[in-house]
Amino acid sequence: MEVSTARKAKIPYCLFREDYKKHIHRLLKTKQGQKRYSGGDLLLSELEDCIPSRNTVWGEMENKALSRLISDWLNTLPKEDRILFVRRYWYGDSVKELASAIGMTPSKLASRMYRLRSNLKDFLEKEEVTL
Amino acid sequence: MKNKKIFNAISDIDDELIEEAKEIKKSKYRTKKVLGVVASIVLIIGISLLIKDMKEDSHIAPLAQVIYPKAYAFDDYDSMGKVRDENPVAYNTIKSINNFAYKTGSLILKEGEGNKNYSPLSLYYALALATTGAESETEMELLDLLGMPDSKTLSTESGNLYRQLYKDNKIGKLKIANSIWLGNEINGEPVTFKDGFIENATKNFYASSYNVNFADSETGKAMGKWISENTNGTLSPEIKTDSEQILSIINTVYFHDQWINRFDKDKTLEDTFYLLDGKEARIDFMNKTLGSAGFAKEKDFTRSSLGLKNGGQMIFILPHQGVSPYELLSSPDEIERIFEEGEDDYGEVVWKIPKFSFDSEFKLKDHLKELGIKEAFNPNADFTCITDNMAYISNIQQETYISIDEEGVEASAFTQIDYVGSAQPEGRAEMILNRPFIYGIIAPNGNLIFIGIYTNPAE
Repeated sequence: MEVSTARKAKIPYCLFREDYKKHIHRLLKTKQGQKRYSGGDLLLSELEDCIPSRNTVWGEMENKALSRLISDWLNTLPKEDRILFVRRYWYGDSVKELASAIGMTPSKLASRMYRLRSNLKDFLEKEEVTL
Repeated sequence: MKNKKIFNAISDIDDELIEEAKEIKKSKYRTKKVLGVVASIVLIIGISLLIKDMKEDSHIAPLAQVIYPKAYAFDDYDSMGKVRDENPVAYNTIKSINNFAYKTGSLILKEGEGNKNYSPLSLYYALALATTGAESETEMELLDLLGMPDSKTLSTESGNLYRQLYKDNKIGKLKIANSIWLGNEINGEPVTFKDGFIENATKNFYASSYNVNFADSETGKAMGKWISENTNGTLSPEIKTDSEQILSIINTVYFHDQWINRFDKDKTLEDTFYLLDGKEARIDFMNKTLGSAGFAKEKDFTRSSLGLKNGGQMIFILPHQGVSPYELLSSPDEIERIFEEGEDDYGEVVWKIPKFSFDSEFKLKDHLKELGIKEAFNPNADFTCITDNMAYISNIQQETYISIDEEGVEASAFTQIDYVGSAQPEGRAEMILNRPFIYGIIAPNGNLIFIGIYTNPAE
């Protein structure tokens, strides 16, 4: 039986992680899921801080290219900041959970997260990204 | 909305970043020392000479002792990543090993009745080690079956894969152990083995070498002791050697791990298991429901998996009512289909799994002959990279043991607190394993360590 390389690579090689990724994003579309993930709306509103303000002559950036840029930006961060950002916006951890995990008060962590979002915004602006 | 666009872009960031971030929660999780899944195997390849009458005056002497790779904690993702980077394994190697698993698995599991637990990875390693000692047609046949271009690549890839897969921490263990047992003389004349073979076996296959007298019954005892030590006492076979042997390759795989979401012992209840012949058996079933998990429902089976703490998973394939598990094992393509094909869905998965443990024993010579290995079993076999004496493989056998129970971690850094009952399920699957089913244990890199069929609780 001929099976495409991509398909073989995905199952069972990455089956578990792919399941999880889809699962999180489906959850965030449900009300209970949003509640579980400390407020999908809240997550989204926080991410408004990252939206670059300037317009450029370039057209809208494709999602894939934007993901690439965000990955590049994450790789410039200190490890702890990088993990915090991914835990908050990929895994959907609450600020309270994260603060407790790294031994910080939630308000201090919230400030740190705000600085990270601003940093991402600056980075995207520097890259002349338009959304 | 622009923020959604950012959100969507974040969802597709590099997998390495996601992997790295798994570790932040590790300190919050409690672990248990009791095993969730245990499996071990021993595989013996005996290579014989055509000359008889060995003297019985030798003793067992180790020639080369193996230093195993450094073990790291189950949640030490930095070390795990480093080991992976320093020991790259080609995608084609993983694919070749799984193709080998499907070819051999079908032949071994489709025949006869009863529970069977087979380790394709173990057989692959033992044959790979033998291949590095083979030349000409003998080597070519073995390389063809193993799906590798040459012995050098086979050795390098085997070494890298070994280091990637090796696990030994407080949660679990995956240890492949190899040993070479060399006869020291024939009719008073010393048997000479090639240094290159021994060196390569030690470097890439982590094989310990012993110099023995196969006519001495103590040799069999020593081999049995080595097997017991390397399988944590789960296997202690009685090995009988004979004076015609010049070399035995023994391979063991010992594996244990814990479920990411352990089963609640209070929910383990006795119920009925329905055998293929219409008989019934009353046995204990472990029960749990996952709020949202992946599964695949196909025309003739349902498949879902349970995560293991060290990154692997155990896949269960439940044939639909009226479908024989042997039909699903009838060819390599079928095995590949049930393990890899099908549309994945998500939702509530209701699990009901028998607690089980059993032994299996396979004589593999005829199966390998059927798969094109002819020369290695022929008295004219060419194993001149091992010895200049005439030698051929006289037997290949594998013994395995598997046991699964409720234990596992209560929660893990990966998924569990988020999975269980956290959302309105969109789909639903019932993995009620109260009739014969198929399973596989898969390493974090995707390689099949074990494939098995469970048909009869009475065994």
